[in-house]
Amino acid sequence: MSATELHRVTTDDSTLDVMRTRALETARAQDSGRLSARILGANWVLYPMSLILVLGAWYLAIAIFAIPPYLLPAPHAVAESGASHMTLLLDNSLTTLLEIAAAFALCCILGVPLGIAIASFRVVDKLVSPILVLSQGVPKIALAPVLLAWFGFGFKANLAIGFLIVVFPIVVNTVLGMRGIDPALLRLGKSLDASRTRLFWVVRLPAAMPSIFAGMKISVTFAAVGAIIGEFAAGSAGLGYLIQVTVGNLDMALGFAAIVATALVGWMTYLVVEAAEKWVLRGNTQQTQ
Amino acid sequence: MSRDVLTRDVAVSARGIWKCFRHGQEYVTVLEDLDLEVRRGEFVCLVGPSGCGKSTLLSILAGLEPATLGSVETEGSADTDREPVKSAFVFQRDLLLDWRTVLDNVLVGYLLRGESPRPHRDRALELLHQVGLRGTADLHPWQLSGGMRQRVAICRALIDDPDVLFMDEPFGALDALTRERLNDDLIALGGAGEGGKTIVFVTHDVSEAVFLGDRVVVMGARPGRIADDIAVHLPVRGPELRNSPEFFEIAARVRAALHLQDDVAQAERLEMDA
Repeated sequence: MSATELHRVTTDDSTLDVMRTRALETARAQDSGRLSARILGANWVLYPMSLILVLGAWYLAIAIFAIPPYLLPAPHAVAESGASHMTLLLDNSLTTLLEIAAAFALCCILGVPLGIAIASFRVVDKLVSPILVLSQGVPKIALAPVLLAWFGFGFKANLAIGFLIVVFPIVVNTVLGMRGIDPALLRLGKSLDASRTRLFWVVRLPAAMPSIFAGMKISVTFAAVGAIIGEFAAGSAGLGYLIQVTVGNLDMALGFAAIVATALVGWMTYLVVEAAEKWVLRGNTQQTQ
Repeated sequence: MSRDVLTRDVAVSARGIWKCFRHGQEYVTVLEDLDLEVRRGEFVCLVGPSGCGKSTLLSILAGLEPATLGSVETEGSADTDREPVKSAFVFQRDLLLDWRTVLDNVLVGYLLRGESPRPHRDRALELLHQVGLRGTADLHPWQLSGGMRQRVAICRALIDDPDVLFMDEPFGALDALTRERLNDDLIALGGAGEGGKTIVFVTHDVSEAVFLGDRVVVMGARPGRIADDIAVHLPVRGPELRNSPEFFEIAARVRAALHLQDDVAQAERLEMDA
């Protein structure tokens, strides 16, 4: 169709109506895209598929390399063992979960105010920051025997190890968030005669919240690691303890079931923090895709 | 002192203002021995080449930052028997809190001073209505366009009914059409004319300055000083004013003064290079 022809067609009223409808339909069709792409792009399709991939690779590895079950049990054996020891797994999961929650909560209660203090007062910054950075050079696991001597086996030693691992990301991200505030917002506060404390609650802290939550999300995964390491070193219960005992006895199926439980517990705690973030930051732009 | 300096109808008076900044290793003078008087109810526009220190001068006038030397007197500031004037500042960026609703943003000044915003709710809604933002009170700022956001920022400045309004290129980031509309709105909000608010308005847009101002103060750069002070005597302010010959005539005068300042600045730069 030439340009003049097109012009004549589109100036005709009834044809124009047809074209309008067709244009809208075409736009709709272009937006919805191919069916296969939509199905493959959906979460409920892709998430289970990643699980199937892992299980497939697992079975394949056992078959190809002829790995005996006392080294690597098949997924169905792990599932069977897990099902028959469900109470044991749940009890120990609960212990680990409590350790994670306690270490994480303690770190939030102490770490966020510490980060705020470091960002707000130069003296605190100069006094605390070197200790904080220096302490990161020490592998936490190296401190486990010391903490064991101080607190004895069990919850308290675990909490201490967890705390040491978890607190750093929260403090650092809180400091970054507090310092990253737009200076123009502070000028706005000044122009509105803001009091120092009100400015903190109304502007400074909310502006730092996304960064604080970023730190919390890192920390909560660290807390799961901390809890397991603590149980390895100083535990008398919990999934880390269970893994050590079962693998030590070459009950690999139950050991792997405990590892899966560990992953699930870690994932759950992360989801809880993420949900809290979504709720607290519900008014922010970042949360509206 | 203030009784001598401030005659009855002067709202803001700046005397012998110097401002020096640290720039790398050295200190540079941004404002040099600058005097400015703004009468009550007057709309003064500050224009000048970029870097002439007009925004710095505005911040000093508003008390947001101190002058290196010199003094700023606002009506009632040193007078015990008179109520100090209320002032508000509108920034180039709207600086709305994205996590708060539009209504909360208008009322944020009360929150920041620890006062209850509740009694001012109705006035906030009325202001939003006046600037054409009816029905947006419960939205979040990120749901609004740039022009709408700046309107909210203006409501935030007007909520406490300030006597003096300091505006730092408030419409500089907006497109030409939106800017003209907001200029009309600003006039309609009682910004200009007898009995209106005292407004000091920084802009680099000559048309905007002439359209809004009773006076256009042209500043020179390096160091910033007042180069010209042009009175704008125009009849009724309204959208049609922009097409009148008087408007063009005054705009041309302001432009000529500005270009002169720009030429001087360039000549000085060449001299420095040589």
